[in-house]
Amino acid sequence: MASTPQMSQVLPSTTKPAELEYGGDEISALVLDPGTNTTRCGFAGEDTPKTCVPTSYGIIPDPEETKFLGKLKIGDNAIHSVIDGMEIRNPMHEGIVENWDVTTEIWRHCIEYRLSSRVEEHPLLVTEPIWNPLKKREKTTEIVFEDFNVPAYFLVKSAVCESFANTKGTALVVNVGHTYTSVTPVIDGIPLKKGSERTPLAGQHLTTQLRHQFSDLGIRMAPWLMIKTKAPYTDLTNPTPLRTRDYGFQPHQSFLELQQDRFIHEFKECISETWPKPKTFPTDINSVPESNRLLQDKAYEFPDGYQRRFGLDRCLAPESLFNPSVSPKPFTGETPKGIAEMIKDSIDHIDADARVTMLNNIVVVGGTSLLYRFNERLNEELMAMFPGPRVKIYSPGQIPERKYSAWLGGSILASLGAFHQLWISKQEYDEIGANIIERRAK
Amino acid sequence: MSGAVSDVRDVLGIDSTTLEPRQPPLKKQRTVEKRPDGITRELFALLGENAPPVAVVEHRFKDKPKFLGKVASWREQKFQNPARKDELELGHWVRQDPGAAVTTAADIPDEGTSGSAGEVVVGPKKQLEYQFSKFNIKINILEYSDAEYDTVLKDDDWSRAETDYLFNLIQSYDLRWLVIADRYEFPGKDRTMEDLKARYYSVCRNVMEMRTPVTMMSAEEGALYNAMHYNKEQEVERKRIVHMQLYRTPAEVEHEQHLIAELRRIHDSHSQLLEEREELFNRLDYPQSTGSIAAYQGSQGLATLAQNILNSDRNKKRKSIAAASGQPTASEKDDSKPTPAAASSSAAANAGSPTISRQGSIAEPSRTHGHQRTDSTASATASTPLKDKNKSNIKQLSKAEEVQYNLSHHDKLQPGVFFRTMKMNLPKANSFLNKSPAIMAELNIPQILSMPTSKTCAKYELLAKEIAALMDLRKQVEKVDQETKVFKAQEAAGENRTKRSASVMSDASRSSKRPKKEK
Repeated sequence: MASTPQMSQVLPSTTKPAELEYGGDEISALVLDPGTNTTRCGFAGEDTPKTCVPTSYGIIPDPEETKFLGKLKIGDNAIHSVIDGMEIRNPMHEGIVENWDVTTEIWRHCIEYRLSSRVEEHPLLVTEPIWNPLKKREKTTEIVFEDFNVPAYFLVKSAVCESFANTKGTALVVNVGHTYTSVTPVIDGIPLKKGSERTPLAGQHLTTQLRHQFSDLGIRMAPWLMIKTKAPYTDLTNPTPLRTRDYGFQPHQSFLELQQDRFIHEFKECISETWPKPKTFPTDINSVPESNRLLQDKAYEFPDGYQRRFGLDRCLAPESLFNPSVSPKPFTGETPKGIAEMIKDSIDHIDADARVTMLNNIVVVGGTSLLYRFNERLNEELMAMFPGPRVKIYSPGQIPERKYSAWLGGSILASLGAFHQLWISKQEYDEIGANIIERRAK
Repeated sequence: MSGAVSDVRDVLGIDSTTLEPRQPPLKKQRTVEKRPDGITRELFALLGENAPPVAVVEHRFKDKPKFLGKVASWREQKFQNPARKDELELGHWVRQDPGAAVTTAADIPDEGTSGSAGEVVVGPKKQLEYQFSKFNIKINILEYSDAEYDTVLKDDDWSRAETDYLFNLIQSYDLRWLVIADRYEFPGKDRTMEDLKARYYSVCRNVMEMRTPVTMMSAEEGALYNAMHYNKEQEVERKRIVHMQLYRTPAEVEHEQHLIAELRRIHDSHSQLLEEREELFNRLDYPQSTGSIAAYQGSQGLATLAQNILNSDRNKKRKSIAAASGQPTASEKDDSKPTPAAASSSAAANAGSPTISRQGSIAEPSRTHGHQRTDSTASATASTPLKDKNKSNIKQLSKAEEVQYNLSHHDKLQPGVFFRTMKMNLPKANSFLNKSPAIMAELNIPQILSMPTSKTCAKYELLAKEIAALMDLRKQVEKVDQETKVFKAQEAAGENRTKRSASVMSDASRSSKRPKKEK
């Protein structure tokens, strides 16, 4: 059974590859990548997560229920059902778990219900953001061993996974996700703490800005779920009458906002666009003559039937990612730095010798980086900041790879033969306790 | 069929008696019209009310894949990783080769393995090394004892605890200084990477030196000892420069790129330049005289010498042509032209054409002013056979082409190198040599031509000749004026001489008109 040495030829399924040829050794591990927006879960060695569950959950407050203070609704179908009294909450904040009881339930839902796997049978790899505090890491370890009773477990920084998913051991990982944008330098698979930065300029920021922009225009923010019949109209001052669905009760405000987010999300995907050149976005978009706009209008119909053509104003919210001072909705506190400035800050924190390597290996991942021309703009910004060294951005072309990079890297890591010595076993946990995470997964 | 169904029911735990045997599905009735004769199948398919789609959909399952051999069996096996300190057992799938008795390195012999998947049964400890455990490599970091620390490693700035902490970090991050400097958090101290490196290398050097004195070290140890030398100030300065380098302005970057491109160009042309320079040196070289010159005292001896020099010169030029491999430089063009004899005759044929070539500048005055060169022309006609032979080989160029390629013909080539200005046929008269600088200065013409092409040389010669002629004339005029004055003085003395003096005067005025016009 000698395997062919040429890697170019795809081996037939009946032929066994050489043991060390790809370094893989599947031990049927599970990979869990919890995020504030969605929790991704699947089997190690696969190229996409098997399941992607929204981290937001529904709850019907019930003082009788002691543990969660209500009945939990987890999963896409449950949280988008119109249920009397159901509130939408999120157990996480900026990638850090706030409500452990619920998070445990969501993880269990992912593994046991969605993957139909028994959690105590599989080693479990969990990702975490770099700023995850020690207390939370220990708590994760505790839950994984005490509640889930896994045979082996490891906690890995998501930035490391993202660089591995893009075939880089050393990279500057820029993750433009839902609640935050983070920049993390990774050296030989070890993230640097001093050079890592984060900012709330990400997907949720875009949603907030767009929501503000729409309400400024006076658009009725009725979500799809609430509309029974509608008629198209273009004049905001004279809207057509709207018949809403009557569920017999008024859904909770948080539920309505979740539903509004769905069409705002669609707007982000279809209409929003990044202005391609740095420092050239017109300050007053309404005074720019039609001929000078450089981009074509795009039409969008809101759920209530309002149709509108969006010109330069569809670049406004994405522009605020790079230049937060143009945000339609002003910041409550200090105005954060733009994404490019943040990358520069991060580069400045790294040792002078490693900076050029970092600039040559910028990995951009995360769902919000899928904004049209986002990478083009980022490249322009960085080229203007660093005219000397070569700035090279690596970003996966496939949408799932971009969105689930952290999961994918974890999947690669957990299926590598050389990784299996790093797992923290139940035995080790029993001997040392939750603090083992600090010793083993630095 | 029914057996298979009951098997499935058994697996699913369904009691087969509770279920009624399902009715086989009714076969679909196909109504196929008979095709009349004479109409092809394809045409018939197109007829009727509802024409079938072009794609013929066959209602059958996909073909079974054809496997070449027997299906290999895979089995889940537990394994232990010797790189681990605990006894964690992980399971992976291992292929069972039906023929091979020996299993892969990581396998555990399956004796005693029960059928159930969840149970872990470890066979006798015949387990071989797990294949990936060989990647578990740790670097060797120097370790020091308490005594060693107390004798050579004490430092005012660094406590023992901090040094230990540093060495622990170095061990756990395998000398990745970027990471070590990032994770270094010793209470009360804020260290840069240079501080850490300086401490580490000084500790290593001191310990090494204490264990083995420098003079006793082996070559390897000595090399390592020298490699451990760390100059902190220099490193800090270097990083400062690296930092400056990163934040250059776009203009600086552009300028630098321009310089790099220029440097590359110079490098590329350097070898060519050297080659050309060497060739030039060869040309300027002259043979050193070593023997006595007595042999060349006579005219015959001189002629032999000239011939020898000419021959050696030719050989040299041939060599350089061969070396230049078909890229004749401006100076080499002279070699490719016809022999002097043929050239002079072809120049004679071109007589009357505008004098643009070097040959022309010499030949034309010789034709117009006296016929000194007639003998050379005669000798040329004597060697006509040679000329014809050469002509057949050489492509005849038109005059325009000769001008374009800067081709010139020569009467006679003087061997060796000379300046064109040296060959200019200038008037030799003393008066001219004395006065010409002043006149040239007045005309704004430099004494030494800055660009002595054959054209300018010819013009210059012409000018010099005219100046000489004019000076001659002025001298004549002065002389005649003087004479006139003398004659006028004598006029009073005698009437009979007046006629002659008048004729002389008219002569003088006629010749003095020209210089005025020229100036």
